[in-house]
Parts: sequence; C-alpha cells; structure tokens
Amino acid sequence: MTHGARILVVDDEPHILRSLRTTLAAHGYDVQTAASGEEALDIAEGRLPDLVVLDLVLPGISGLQVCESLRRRSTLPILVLSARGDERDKVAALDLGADDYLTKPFGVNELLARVRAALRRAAGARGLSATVESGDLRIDFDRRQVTRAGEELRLTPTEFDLLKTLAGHAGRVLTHGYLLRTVWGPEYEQESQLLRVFVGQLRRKIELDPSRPRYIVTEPGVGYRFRLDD
Amino acid sequence: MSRPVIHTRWIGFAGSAGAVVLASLLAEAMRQNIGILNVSLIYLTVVVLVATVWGLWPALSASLLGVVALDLLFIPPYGTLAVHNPRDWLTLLFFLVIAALTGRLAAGLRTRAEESRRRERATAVLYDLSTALIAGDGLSVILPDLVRRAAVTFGLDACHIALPAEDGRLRVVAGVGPWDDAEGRAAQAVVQQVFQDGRPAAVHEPHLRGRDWQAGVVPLVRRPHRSPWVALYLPLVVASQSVGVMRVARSRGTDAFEPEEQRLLTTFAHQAALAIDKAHLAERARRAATLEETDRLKTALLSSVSHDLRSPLAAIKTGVTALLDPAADLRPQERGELLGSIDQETDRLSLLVANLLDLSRIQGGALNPRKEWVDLAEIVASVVDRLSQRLVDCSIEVDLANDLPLILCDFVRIDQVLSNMIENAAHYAPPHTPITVSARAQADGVLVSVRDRGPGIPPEERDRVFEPFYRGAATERTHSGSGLGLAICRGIVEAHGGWIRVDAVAGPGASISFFLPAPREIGVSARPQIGVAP
Repeated sequence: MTHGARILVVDDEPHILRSLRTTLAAHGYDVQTAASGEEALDIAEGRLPDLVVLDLVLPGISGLQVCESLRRRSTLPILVLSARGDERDKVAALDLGADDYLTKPFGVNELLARVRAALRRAAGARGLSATVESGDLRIDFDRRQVTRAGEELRLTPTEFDLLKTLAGHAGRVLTHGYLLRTVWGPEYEQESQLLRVFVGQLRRKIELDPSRPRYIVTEPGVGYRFRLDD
Repeated sequence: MSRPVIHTRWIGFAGSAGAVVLASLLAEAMRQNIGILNVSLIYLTVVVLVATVWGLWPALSASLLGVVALDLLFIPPYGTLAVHNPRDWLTLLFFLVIAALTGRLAAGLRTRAEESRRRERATAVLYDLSTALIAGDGLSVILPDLVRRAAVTFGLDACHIALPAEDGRLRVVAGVGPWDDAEGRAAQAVVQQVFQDGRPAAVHEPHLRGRDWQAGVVPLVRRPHRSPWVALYLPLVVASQSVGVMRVARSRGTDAFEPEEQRLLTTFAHQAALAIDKAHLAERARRAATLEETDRLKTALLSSVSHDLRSPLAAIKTGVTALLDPAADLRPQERGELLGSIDQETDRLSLLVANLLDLSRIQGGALNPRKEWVDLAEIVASVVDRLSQRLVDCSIEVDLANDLPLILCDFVRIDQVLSNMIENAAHYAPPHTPITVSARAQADGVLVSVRDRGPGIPPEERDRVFEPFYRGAATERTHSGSGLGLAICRGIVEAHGGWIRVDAVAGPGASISFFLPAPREIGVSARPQIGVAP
C-alpha cells in the first residue's frame, strides 16, 4: 500500500514544503502539509495519516513534542528531518518513537527511499515473523539459531539478544541507549563501551568482511541499523 | 616580630624580681665596703637594665621591689618595712622617683629602638613582597608565596586568600594551615560578609574589644568558649572594590593582633589586592588580544571565502535561469547536464557552509565534542564505506592493528577528521593509486595515519597546511576544497586532547597522522571479551 498512502509533511519553510509536496505527489502519494506543530496535530486529530515527515525545528511547539504526541496516539511511521550536527536531537526523536531520520540538506531520492522503507515496515509489522532473512543470513528467533549460507553460527546469549533486537526492528535505526536498555537493562544505559565491544564481536561472527559491515550498519553518533537486503 | 602573648610579660616581671634579688645579694656581699648611696646605685642599674630588656612595666615593678629591698636590708631597723628616720624616708622617696624616671626613659628608648627595628624589618618584608609581585608570575605563583611570607613574618598558624568564583561564592585559592571553623563559626560565612562590607573583621576574646582594629568599625565575631583561635579577616580592596579576602589566624596565645601588626597586615593585604587586580587586568588584555585575533581571522575568512561562496551560487543561478527560460529549447540531455551541475554546486556550497560553521565553532571554543566509547575500527569502516562510493578513482586500503583500544571521542567528529584527511589525500593523489588508512595502538592512545602516493608536502609547508584558508601550491589551480578541511581536523583533534601532524616519509607521497589519547583505566584493552551477562 505504498502508493496512494497519505503523507503529512510538517516544515515551517514554505519552499521546502512546496518542493516536497510536488515531489511526493508526483510519486503518487496523497500529501497534506502543515507549517507548524499545532497545525500538524490539528490535521492528525481529524484523520491519522499513514506517515509523517516532521522537521524538528518548528515555531511554537517543537518537533519533538509533536513526535511524542503522535506516538501516544498511534504507531504510524514518523520520519524526522534535522540539521547536520544535531545528533542529540536525532537521538531524542528516535527515543521518543520516531522511526528514521534524514539530515538536511538531503536529496529527494533519499527521502523517497526512506518513505518507501518506512511504509513497507509499517505494513509488514502487522504480522510478526519468527525469522528474519537478509542476504545469506537467517535468524530464527524461536530456536535462537543463526545461520549464514546454511552454516550455523555460534553466538553467546548476549550476542544473540543484541542481534535479535536489531533484526527484530530490521531497517530501523536503534539508538545506543535503546539497545543498552533492551539487551543489558536500564542500569547499563550509559555503558556505550559495552555496546561497542559486543557489536564488534557480533560483526566478526556474522559479517563476511567485518571491516565493511553489510548487516549491522553504524549510524554515526546515533546508533545501529540492521540492513535488510533488498 | 615579637609575639605579644601574655606569658612574655610574666617573664618580664619574674625577670625583674630575679634581678632585684641578685642585686640584693651583691649589695649584701659588699655591705661593709659601700655606703647606702652606692647600694641605691646598684638598684638603679638593675632598673635601667630591666627597662632595656623587658620594657616599662617590669622596670616599674623593679623600682618598687628595689625600694622594698633597700628598706628591708639597708635601712634600720633591718628586716622590717618600718622607717624611723625621716631622712631615710627622703632617701627612699628620691630613689623611687629617680628609678621610675630612669626606667621610663630607658624603656622609651627601648620601645623606639624596637619600633625602628620592626619598621625596618617590615620594610624589608614588604620590599621582598613587592619585588616578588612585580616579577609578573601568575596568581597561582604569587598568592601561595604571599601567604607563606605572611605566615612566616607574623608567626601565623593559618593564612588564606579567598577570591570570588564565577557564582559569586568566595573560594580559597591559596593558604596554609586549617581553614574552616576554627572559630566555631564557618570561616566561609565571615569571609563572605567581609567581602561584601569591605570592612575587616576580627575573631577573639570579647574583653579585648577595646584594642580592636579601629575600635568600633570592626564587626566582632565572638570567639567561642575555649577555642584557642584568634583570627583577622582583611578585605582585599582596590579602588574601593573588593577583589577578595585574606584571613590570618593564630591558635596559640590569648592576645589579639597588635595594632602595629594589624597595620602591617593591612599593607600585606593591599599588596595582595594589587597583585590580584594586576592579574585581572592581564586576563582582560589577553581576552582583548584573542578577540582581535578572532577579528583578524574573520576578515581573512570573509575575503577568502567570498569567492568560494559566490562561484557555486553563480553557477546555480545560471543553470536555473537557463532552465526557466521559456525561449530556450533545451534537449533532455542538456537539461540533465544543467540539473547535474546545479546539484553538484549545491553540494559544494553546503559543504563549504558546514565547514565555515565548524571552523567558527572551533575558533570560538564551542566545539564541545560529544564523547562516548568508540571502536576506531568502526569509524574507519564507516568512512571507507561512504568514501569508496564517492571517490571512485581511488582505492582505499585499510590496515588496522588488532589490539586497538576503545577510545573516548565524538564518533561524528572523528569520522569527519578521517573523511577530510582521505578526501584531502584523494585531491593530491594521481588516479588509481592507493590511499592507505592505518591505525596503531600506542602506550597511551591511538595513532591513525592516512598515506597517499601524490606529490607529497614540502617540509616548509608541513605546519602551514593546518592553517585555515591555506592551500598548498599544488592545489591552487584546482577548484577543490576551501582550505578549511585540515584546519578543522586540527581543531577537532585538539579538542579531544590529541594532535595532528604531517609525517616525514620516505618515498613518494604524503602521510598525515593524528593521535588520540586513550584513558588508561578502561580504554586500553577493549578487544578482549567483556564477560557481562545480560
């Protein structure tokens, strides 16, 4: 259902709003626009869109607040836009439930790719699958089994939990804080060295070339993403 | 300087008594050979000596004791204080008057001599002090020195100087001896009060109130029962503006500070105030110089960058107006070319703006790296992955040691450093020659190097390449870069406590390396498996 999906674009910059509307409409989406957080929430009040593209810097109520408010009501995918260097804001938005982010200035191709991926994930999320496959890697959640090209890989329990968390949200950026909370527990939230070490170990086991990771992708300053092969 | 504690006065009285006894023994021994006149001269000599050594009051007491001894031993009837002969009365009276007068004169001379000695000493101490202050060392050298000198000169058990911190609270910046609560009331509170009022305060026995510092002006803090401490708090004032507070204290003795000492201590305090004021002025001058330097850089930035900013804007404008022109009949291929160049120029412009913002952050000291534990191999992988797609003409080789420690750094910023270095290398290197990224663990950190096979960097340019807007002769002709990349690298690496340099290499090409320190406690052995169960 990617085509014809309703997309709400929220940005206070009229030129950006206009070009995003034109582009997205040209690709068959049904586009609504809002120039402020208040307007965006009003529109969402009426009928929830299928996806929201949200600039974090807005006059009045902030993008983060809009993100939080939308997330309380729905699981719809939220794609946030932020300036370069605002990693803190990106992490905050992701922790508040945003699905993905784009750094301004961005090309339209990149936006379209993210929109398609987010809509596909939202559609797929309805049925939880017991296995995830990407390339020749296959992860079986129930049997806690990981195979690459049919050959079983031996992971420690922590490594498996980390991989399961990443692959369970395949395609989504997971922040360092989220991964540490989920895999190790809330008291480990600040222990980024733990995460670095285990991601390194996991990559050496599952990646063909650990120095050029294919499955576990680093999102600089933000977190990690499990990449599904298209 | 003599310590005006009470026991020295008792020594004076005891000494005077002893001297009179000795004189009596001497006179008694010579009793047969000398007359009463000579005996009284012996006692007079004693009074003068006592006056010279111990001052007025012991001398007066020696005079009285002398009269008593004269009466008991040499005026009949012997052994009693009774005097029958009126002539003897006169002798005793004259002796007392003469003894008292001589004693006073001698004591006066002694006091004057002592005062001039003390003044001389004080002048010497102050001279030393001002010489030390003029030497122009920082406050961190001057104040401890001053505190130490004050403690030695005045026989203090504690001496401290407190200066206001940014939150307005006074903090001890130099001191010897115990600081707080010797007086039962937190010294901090008194210091704060004295700083605000700009008036000195004393802490000592209430009965000494009369001998206070400029009696009536001093807010007296009552010394708690049985506390052995006396203390004086002096505001450090320059041009009726408090710049700090000096606290001096003694734990032994029961006396307060003598007025003479208080005067001298005030002079000390004044010197300290001047030194602090001078340091503040120097700091302000330094800031002004920094501002001037920033200003100069901004001017350089403006002139150098205006061209770099304008040319992509001009290209974009031309391209867009050509596309908008209804009369132009463009073929699809031409439209594509125009749009492609607009896209490229936009990227160039946004990179330049980003670099300029970073540079101004670095120069304003506002870079604030967001440090976290990072696996350097991950940064290298991320950069190489991204740049391999963009720099199709280069082959990037990676050579990482296996024992790299985790380092505490800003992932995004170090990613930027490495990207800039590789892109810089790619500008110089001939197409299809390898660029090598290597990383090695060192005793206290990590060394990362980027090596190319280009023309190399001449030794005289090795430092200059890190200056903003500097472009090597080899790049002048190409349009690439704004001359900011390596300057930003240096700013970022230095903000992490590391360094960056051009290596001297054998063979063709250039190699640039940066070093990041690894905190010893955790960082050094990150590779081994950390056995933490979920």
